[in-house]
Amino acid sequence: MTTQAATRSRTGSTMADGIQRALDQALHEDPRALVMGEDVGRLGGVFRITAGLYDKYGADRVIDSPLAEAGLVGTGIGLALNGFRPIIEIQFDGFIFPALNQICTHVARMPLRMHDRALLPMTIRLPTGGRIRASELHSESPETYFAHSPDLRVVSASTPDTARALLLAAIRSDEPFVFLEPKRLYRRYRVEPEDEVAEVDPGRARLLRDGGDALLVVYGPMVDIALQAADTMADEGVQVAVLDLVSLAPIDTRTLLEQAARSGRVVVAAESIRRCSISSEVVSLLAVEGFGSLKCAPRLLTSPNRPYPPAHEEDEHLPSVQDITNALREVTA
Amino acid sequence: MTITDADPLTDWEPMFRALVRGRRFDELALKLQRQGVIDSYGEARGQEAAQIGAVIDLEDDDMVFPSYRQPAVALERGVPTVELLRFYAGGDFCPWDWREHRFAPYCIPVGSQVAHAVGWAWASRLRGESAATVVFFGDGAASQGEVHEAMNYAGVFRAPVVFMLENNGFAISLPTSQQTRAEALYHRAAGYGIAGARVDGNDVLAVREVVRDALVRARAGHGPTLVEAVTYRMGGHTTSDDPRRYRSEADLSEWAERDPVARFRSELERRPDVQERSGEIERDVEAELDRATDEFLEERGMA
Amino acid sequence: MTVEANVRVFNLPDVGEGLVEARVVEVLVSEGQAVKRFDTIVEVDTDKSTVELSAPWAGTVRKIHVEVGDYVEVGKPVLEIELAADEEGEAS
Repeated sequence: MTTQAATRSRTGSTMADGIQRALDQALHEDPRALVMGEDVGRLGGVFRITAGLYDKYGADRVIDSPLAEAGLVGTGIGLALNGFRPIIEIQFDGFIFPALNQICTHVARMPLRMHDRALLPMTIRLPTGGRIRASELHSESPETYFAHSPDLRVVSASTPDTARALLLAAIRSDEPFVFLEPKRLYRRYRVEPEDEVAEVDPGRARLLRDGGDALLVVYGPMVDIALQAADTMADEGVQVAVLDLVSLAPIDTRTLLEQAARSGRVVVAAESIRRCSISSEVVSLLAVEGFGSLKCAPRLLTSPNRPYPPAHEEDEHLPSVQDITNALREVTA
Repeated sequence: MTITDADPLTDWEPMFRALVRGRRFDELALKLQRQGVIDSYGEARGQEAAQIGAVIDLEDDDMVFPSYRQPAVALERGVPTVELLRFYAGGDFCPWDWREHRFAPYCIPVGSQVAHAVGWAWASRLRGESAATVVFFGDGAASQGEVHEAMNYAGVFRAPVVFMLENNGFAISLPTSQQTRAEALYHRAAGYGIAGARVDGNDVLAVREVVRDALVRARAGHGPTLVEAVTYRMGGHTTSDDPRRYRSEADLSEWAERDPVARFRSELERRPDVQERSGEIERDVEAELDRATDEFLEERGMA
Repeated sequence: MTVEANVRVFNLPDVGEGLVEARVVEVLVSEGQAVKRFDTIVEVDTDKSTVELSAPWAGTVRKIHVEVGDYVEVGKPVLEIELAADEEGEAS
């Protein structure tokens, strides 16, 4: 089934709505669930994702934390060990770094260390990605740091029809999840209630658009850009399949290789820098495990290996629709 | 500080047993490391009173989060000696049933366990339980930002936790005087709006009293206490360390005179009625550790 | 090295996370001496510190392979102990 980029109508749910409803549902169905983070309570979150939850569930369930990310994740661990299901919001991608110690040395490791895969049923939510003219460290793509910390599971929301189901799957899982939310896409598209997906497997990649001439592999903030590129190519008579990875760690290798084998012509695109990225990992998997099915070298479109620049340079820094269509033309030439 | 008429030595036996067992285990583990039976060991010699005094009055459903230097506490919480030795032998990050014993696994990233303890205690409070949590960390760990964050969280959310700061004089080679210019580490409590106290960490009865107050405070919903127990790390940081490179024999012998186990033993020796029983306890502990050593060596094919 | 079933060889352990060798500083027992488990038998100097090594088994010191001043590699013999009668049952 193909999904078009949702039209800009006034009705229907956005990704932000979907995420908020997932949190509401989690708090409602599980008394152990807690929403925690900076400004998530009375303010409803800097992106208003948690708006209304504080009034509905109270200060013991929707918790305004002090300004201290390491302490937030660290105490979240203690709460999870002792029977709660913390859903932690880190305010911005660039602010996750103080919490990296707790995430990499404990959240990722404790289930193995303490012989219990169900030990830490916690979810860490994080707005990510750029193209929003923000100040420094508000447009990052830090997914690699988490993907490099097994056994942490890392998934990214991408479309308004699946965000709620994906977040619920992460929350309900007994494994710790990092849940990335492309902030540019929070309210950009809407979907009608009947088009919302009821359940999502957080470990499976999703084919958003079918096509036999080439495969475009993306996730998160690149998904809508990818669908636009596929539309442009369709006008030129080239049918491009668009695969949303959904799960960045672990990657759904089986679906990736199956889809790549159909045309053997692959373009991978992401906002993150190239070096040691999820996209590099995808290309590595294709080369090592899918080499025989490739008709040409895969194309990899990422940011260059430089720090994210000031806002007015970000369009040059990030892969554009044009970059993607150029690459698609190359592989299908 | 509560003043009580009750004789603090009325229930001396469990304390004595725990102190002696901690000391004997320490000596055993060091020898096993020097035999190549276990990979690495961090001596806790000299810190037994600070540790046992803090946990001797805990209930079964209270929780303890160690750093990585509390073997006496592990044994006091019921962790079998063989399981504790398995940790040092390097085969398993968490060889004991931490939920059953209410003793979390050792935490290698310095200071990062303090937030976990706060979260655990916070959970107890959210459920309206009377359980309290004790977390151990050192003077070095107290410099870590995460420790400050954790103490602040505990204050804000009135987590029922006792912060046992074992000021043992060193963070590997760095003396506390160079770790911070603060006159005393417990002063930080005021900075977070929480209770604080300083105690002679080598006096098990004093530590017990201070922690008893802290536990009452915690269980009553009045929040955390930072207890700075001043003690001394008699051995090296680990078996790879050579403390002679950074401290003097004079320093060491001065503190040896304040040995916490010897001190408690001489308190008891003033009472002729306990001497025979204390001798029995020491022999019991020896026999227990001997059996555990046999079992451990068998297990490793080194009998 | 191969020895009789009731004799154990004590080889220099790695006492310091990747140690290669140590220098013998003091030998505290002599051949023929009875030792208990955990009696101190020898003192060595590593590049990190001076370390006391103790007997892993009870028995009689049958042969000492080192002298004060020798450099011993990790894994090489320091001494041999003929097991005491009640430990022979555990010999494997």
